[in-house]
Amino acid sequence: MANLAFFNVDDGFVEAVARGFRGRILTQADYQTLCQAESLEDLRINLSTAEFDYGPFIEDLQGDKLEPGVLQKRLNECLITEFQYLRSQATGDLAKFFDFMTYQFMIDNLVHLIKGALKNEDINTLLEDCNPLGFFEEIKLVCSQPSAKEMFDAILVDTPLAEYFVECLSIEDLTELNVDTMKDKLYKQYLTAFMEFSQSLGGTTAEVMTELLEFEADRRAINIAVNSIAFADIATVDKQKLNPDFGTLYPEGFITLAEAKDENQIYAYLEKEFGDTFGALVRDMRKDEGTEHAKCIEELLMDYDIHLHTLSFYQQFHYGIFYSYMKLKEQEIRNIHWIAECINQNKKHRINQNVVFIF
Amino acid sequence: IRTTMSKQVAPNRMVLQSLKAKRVGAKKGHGLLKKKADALKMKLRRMMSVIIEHKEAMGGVMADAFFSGTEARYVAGNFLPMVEEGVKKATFVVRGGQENVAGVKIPNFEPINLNPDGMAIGMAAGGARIKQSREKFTTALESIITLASMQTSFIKLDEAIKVTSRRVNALEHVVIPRIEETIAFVLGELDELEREEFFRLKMVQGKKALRVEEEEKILKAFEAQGGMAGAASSARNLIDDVVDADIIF
Repeated sequence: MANLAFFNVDDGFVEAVARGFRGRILTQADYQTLCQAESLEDLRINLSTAEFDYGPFIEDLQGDKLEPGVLQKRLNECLITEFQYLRSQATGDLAKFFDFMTYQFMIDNLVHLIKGALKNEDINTLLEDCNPLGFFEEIKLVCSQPSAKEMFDAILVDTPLAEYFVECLSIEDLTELNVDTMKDKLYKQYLTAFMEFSQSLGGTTAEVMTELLEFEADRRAINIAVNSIAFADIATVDKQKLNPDFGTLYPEGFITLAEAKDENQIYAYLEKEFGDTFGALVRDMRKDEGTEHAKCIEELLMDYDIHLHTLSFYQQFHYGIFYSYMKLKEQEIRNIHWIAECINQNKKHRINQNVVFIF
Repeated sequence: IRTTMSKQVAPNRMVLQSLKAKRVGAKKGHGLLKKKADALKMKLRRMMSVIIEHKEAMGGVMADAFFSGTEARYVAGNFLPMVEEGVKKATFVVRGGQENVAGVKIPNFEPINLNPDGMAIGMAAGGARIKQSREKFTTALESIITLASMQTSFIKLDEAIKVTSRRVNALEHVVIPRIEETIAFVLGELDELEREEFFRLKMVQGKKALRVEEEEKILKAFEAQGGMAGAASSARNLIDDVVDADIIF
């Protein structure tokens, strides 16, 4: 009840704006129009209509400049502008919530920069590759440190990610581990912290975010299990270390997944124990197996994730919609990028493989 | 040109003999080279059809590879920096070799994948698609190398064929006709000599016959003078000019 009464005092406006943005997310009918585009130019014109927010970001993309990668970048800029707008309106807990949302991009950026800086690559080119959502001033400071030791100290002192680093990485890891593993380890800490924070907020926010983050944890565990099977030298323990301490599969599920020796073992387990959630996805995957447009379990998990995010809009007075809005928008950009690539590479018959209809 | 060679040789039997040996050798060489050229041409044609096949397939293979890259990016985001970071040394190398076709050494390249499993990338996102993409690009790279190998062989083979057919033509149209010309010249020369000899013999014979006729004439005249007396006195002692007494035991 407290939520109902007081939510709008602080966060009502931001929520209204976010719901407004959600209303402009492309619908199935919009995608059908986009899929009929014969060229990238057609696609651009379709996207530039007043119905969507992309117009101003893509209007100068013409001729040679119009190619899928650039298009994606521009659409991302649009998302970033919207996100920053929301973020700047947020106060108190919501501001903190927004900070948490940016940490995942910070992890990507920081790891990328650390690795690049250790190899003495040019910092400015490295910064260009960074996602602006995960950008913070101190990042440059970290990268300009001369040695791994000083870099590590700088991370601990100057970055918001310090606590994640302390938990799972040492100075040696900075030079030894590869980017991927470092990211996965940090991401686990990040998910755990985000979960804790969401639950501390209580109410509907905790409810919605728990479901989303638990699914995220499950999804990562399944992905890691499936993707690591081809590499026998990755120890079971190491795989388990990458899984956070929550999720619907936690704890037996994570152990079983990590111990699996081949993919079918994983799928059989999911079908047996989680028949109506993950099992259903496995059955979906089996249906198309062997055809040209067969999907990986990963892509189906992504689809399901998007579905969960759409559901969070049906609850009111909670922060989950901001997280969901960002995820949906990201998926929308992936969809458009995919359509653009299909058109560009003359593979229009494959368009339906990866376009996820959001609403 | 033909006559210059004829002038250089002395027309005699020994030269003729050696020329004939040369002709046999040239003809044999010509046959062998022709066979070699045919073998090379056959190989070239076979290679050409394979190259065309490969080239036509190449477009599809490359498009597939790039599309699989797009599929991987859809799930994994931009994973390129991770790949770049993880690469320590080349995993794909090319070894040069040689093949022997009808005595012609033809270079070829063999692709070697030192790390067929690749590295673990995108464990939490996109691993499966990245793996697929890597496999597609590996096949594409192998096709490219095979194509390059065949193309190089093709060029070398083409050169070899040109050289061989030039030799075949040289033998067929220059060397062998020239030898035959020379042989004809020598034979002609020899015939000429033979005819001269024959004529000489004929002359000698004629002279001899004349002389015999004259002698016969003299003899006849002599016989007509001496008659039978001449015939009786013919058995007398030539030294003493005395008639020997008959010896009776």
